[in-house]
Amino acid sequence: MNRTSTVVRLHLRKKLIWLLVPAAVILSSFIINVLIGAFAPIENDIYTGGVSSIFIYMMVLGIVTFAQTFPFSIGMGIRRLDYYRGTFVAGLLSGLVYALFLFLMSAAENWTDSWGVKLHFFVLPFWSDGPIINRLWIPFLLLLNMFAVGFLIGTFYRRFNKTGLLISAIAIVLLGTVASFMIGVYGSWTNIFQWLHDQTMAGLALWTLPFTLLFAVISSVLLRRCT
Amino acid sequence: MTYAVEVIGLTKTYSDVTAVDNVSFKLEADKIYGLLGSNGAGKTTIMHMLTAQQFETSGTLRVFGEHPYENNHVLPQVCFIKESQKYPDNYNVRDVLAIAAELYPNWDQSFAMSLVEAFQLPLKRNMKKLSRGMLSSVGILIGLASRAPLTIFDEPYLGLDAEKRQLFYDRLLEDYAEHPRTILLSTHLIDEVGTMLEHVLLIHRGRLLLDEETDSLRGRAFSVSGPAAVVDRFTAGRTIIDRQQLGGLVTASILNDAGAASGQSEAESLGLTVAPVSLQQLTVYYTRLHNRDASSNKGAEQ
Repeated sequence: MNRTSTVVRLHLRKKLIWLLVPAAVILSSFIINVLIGAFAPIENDIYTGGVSSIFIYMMVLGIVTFAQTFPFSIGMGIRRLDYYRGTFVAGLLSGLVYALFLFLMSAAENWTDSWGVKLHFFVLPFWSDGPIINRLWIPFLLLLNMFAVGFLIGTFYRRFNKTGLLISAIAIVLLGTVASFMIGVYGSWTNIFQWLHDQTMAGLALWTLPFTLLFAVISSVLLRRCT
Repeated sequence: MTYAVEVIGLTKTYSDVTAVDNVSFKLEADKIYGLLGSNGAGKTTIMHMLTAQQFETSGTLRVFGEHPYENNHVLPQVCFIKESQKYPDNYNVRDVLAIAAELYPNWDQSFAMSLVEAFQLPLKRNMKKLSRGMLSSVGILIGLASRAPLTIFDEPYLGLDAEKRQLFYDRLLEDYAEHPRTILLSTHLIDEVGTMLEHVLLIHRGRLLLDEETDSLRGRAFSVSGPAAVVDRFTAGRTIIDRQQLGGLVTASILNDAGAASGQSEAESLGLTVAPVSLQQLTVYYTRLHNRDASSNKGAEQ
């Protein structure tokens, strides 16, 4: 009897919020853009950031899923560790499905010559640079990162409540302000922008990996004391 | 012998309050226990600690010989049904039952479906749209059909009408007879379940006041009524937990010390009317007695 897999099923029972809603969000944005491309009198190509919605959704999913299912799971005698593993497996699986979807749509965008309406929705400069396989694993890593951020916010809120979340948010803003001030003092902004400019999308995506792991570790530690 | 639950010196303190104060008790296997006490006495906190949903500040806690925290030997054997149980918003009754069936190894699906019918639960209805009584029925259904060796009910019948409550008691006793298990039931409707409880734990302000077999407890308590002078003569030297006077007529409730002679026949020979005290009255009296003691102690300290 594997209780981690029960947690995975507990999540994926609701395919609506795991698959249909994100698909609906991104496809509705896509269709509107296709219509604009088809009927609006625009000479130039259209570039949109419509794909970003799926990444935001992944973070929201991390937060909402935790708030919705953790109290239920613990009340039903599920171990925190099983809940943690099962939830991340569900996040991983859905991240994989979304990434595959983005990958296939980007391939379709190439084949159809930008959907015949000069719309660049899934294939974007910089974002889609490099070998085509990048369009699969880069979104996957970013989706995973967003899910881990959402899950971390969820566990943090559960553990430290509103006050804790507010205090840490203020702390992060303050630290960010101090850091940016110090960077300004030492005149390092140009270096940072130079570094960012030199990065490829693949390089940036790989850089999320240590942060994703860090968030996952912190949330597992927080979860062990969640009640 | 391994007890279903063994608790020694269990204490839970929040920053400024002690919710559970040095509580020790044991629950034997295959018995029905009542955990009684007024609101805020600490019952729910104890039950949460037994299932590792809250953490004890100090003390030892053993469920089937092990600590329940993150323990897959223990947790699948414990089913805790509480009034405040949260369900995912988009879950319907069927979803909840499917997950429960996976989590409890002794789950009986046909028993569960018979309960769905008996409690008239709409399987496809969203949990959010259930009435309070239906929500309670779902909890009761899980508690019964899971057949967990330790089943804990914390006020499981909020919003449930008398007929459905009776249904719960009937099904519980029927199923308990066939599949014995340890049941810990916390309730305010003590008289309704009084006959069902084999053993009573009374909690008050985080402390354990009583830990006794129901029968022996009932045997120790009775009320006498008659003329004031006779009653007072009889009650001299006994523990009076309640005394009410109406004109010259006095009714006094007595709680003998454990093992002491009951004195009921003596009261009858004095011409006093002897009546039993219900478990509910007894807990009320006992709690009040303790309140009085606490406040008089406080007065002495000051």
